[in-house]
Amino acid sequence: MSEAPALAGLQGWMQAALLDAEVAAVRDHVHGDNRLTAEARLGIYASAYRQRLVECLRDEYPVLAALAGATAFDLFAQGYVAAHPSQSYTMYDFGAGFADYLDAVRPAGSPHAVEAIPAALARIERARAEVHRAEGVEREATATETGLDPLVAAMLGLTVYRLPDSVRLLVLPFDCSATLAAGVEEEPPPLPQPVPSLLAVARAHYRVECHPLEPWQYDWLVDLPGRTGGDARIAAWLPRAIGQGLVVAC
Amino acid sequence: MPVQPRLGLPNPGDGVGLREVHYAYLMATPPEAWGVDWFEIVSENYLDNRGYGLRVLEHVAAHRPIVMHGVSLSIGSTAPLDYGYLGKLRDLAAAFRPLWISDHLCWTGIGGINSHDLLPMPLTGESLDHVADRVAAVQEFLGRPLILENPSSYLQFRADQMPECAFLARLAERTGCGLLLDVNNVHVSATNHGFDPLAYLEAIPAEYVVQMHLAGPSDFGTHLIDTHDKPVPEAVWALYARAWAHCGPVATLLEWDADIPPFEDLLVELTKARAARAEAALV
Repeated sequence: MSEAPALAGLQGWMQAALLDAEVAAVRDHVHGDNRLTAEARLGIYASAYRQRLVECLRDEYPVLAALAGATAFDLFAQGYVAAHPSQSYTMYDFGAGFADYLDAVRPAGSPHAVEAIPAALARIERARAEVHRAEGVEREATATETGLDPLVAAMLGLTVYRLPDSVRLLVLPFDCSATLAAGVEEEPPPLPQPVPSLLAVARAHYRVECHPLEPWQYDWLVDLPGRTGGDARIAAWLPRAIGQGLVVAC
Repeated sequence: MPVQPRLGLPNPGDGVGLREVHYAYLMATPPEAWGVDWFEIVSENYLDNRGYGLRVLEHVAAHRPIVMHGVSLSIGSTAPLDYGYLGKLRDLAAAFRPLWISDHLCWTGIGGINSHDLLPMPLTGESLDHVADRVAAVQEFLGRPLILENPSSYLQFRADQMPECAFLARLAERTGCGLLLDVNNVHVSATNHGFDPLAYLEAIPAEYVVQMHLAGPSDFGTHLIDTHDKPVPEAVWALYARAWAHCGPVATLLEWDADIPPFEDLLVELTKARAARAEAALV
């Protein structure tokens, strides 16, 4: 009686078959029958592997999927699945590199070229996914709750502010606000406009929102933690920024 | 020493999986009106999650027992155990005090890759030794018995030396791990491989069974796939009745992970379990 193939060898063979759609020696390792051949049985796992990860990306990038259409999005997604197999215990991590991948594989050219739109949209949608799960401001006592009016505190420079974990600041070559507003309701949503934009993705009351920023707002946020520095515009804007979950008092 | 039924673990009754589509319903509905005895969470959905999901889990766990059910332990992999992952699992368990922690008899990848699929184990003596060693290590790390589920499978290796039910029985007896008997998976695998599902059930040592899963698969003509997107079919209810007669009473959980219906519809499906158990009493 021949010795059974070692476990490590069989797992190495099967993983290679799943990742590379390599079908060599299937019948040496897998039973087939009159209903399903050995190749068809292995194929169930191989197709499920790709389909699961493509669906994961489709769920995380719904606006990009709506804008690109099913065929183009699946091409993006399948390319990413092939180039970047998951290396995490959670599928949540899988899509983290999708925007960088889309940037890397697009034709070289202007950052405002239409080919750059998928990566820009993907950065926003990834930020939304990260903010959704991040430590937010919901459990923190606000300045108001501690008895200090945020506007007064800001104007007097009494409070140090910081960026919560549930905020992402983005510099984008496109204005995607109309695209995001249309979301997945319109098929396809309007194309982003090739206008540089600054965006904050933040969460308040467990709702994730995108907030367009003025340059002075972005510059202040990106330099946090800090105080208002006596800037009246910042002080006047702070109550709204706090309400949007963009900043929190240290 | 004789093994206690369910390894001495409780029977919390009938439960459902905690899924994001039901968060709003559960947060808006008084817990006394939820209509389920307990919830099973997918552990990985709450590791590193500091968002609304965690808030909902805190609320749910304050009112019902929970069980942590994982998909990335990869207990059968020849890659080293991921103690970073296990540490997070242990931390989550410390925070939410689940009745037990379960995963699957499978491997998910090697060489740092996770396929996020429950890949089938070659059912060999070598595999049994390997998995038993890892189960012992995980149980020591977690400080509690690990509960392992029989997966649905679509292929069998030529290297196999024993049926899956015998593999699970030996594993449980060697390591003291518990078993999560997924009745739908027995139905799916029995259909796909042509074995007798009743013989499979009879070969499972009843005292190690801590929980049962119910779900609806998809029929592709030549085979079934474990899609968790349909009502439980009659064949699975019949098998559940036989499983209950063999190893009940144990916790029962309805799984529904795609095309998930409103929470109230899950309850309607779950109530069918009672009728099946009544039938089991007549077996």
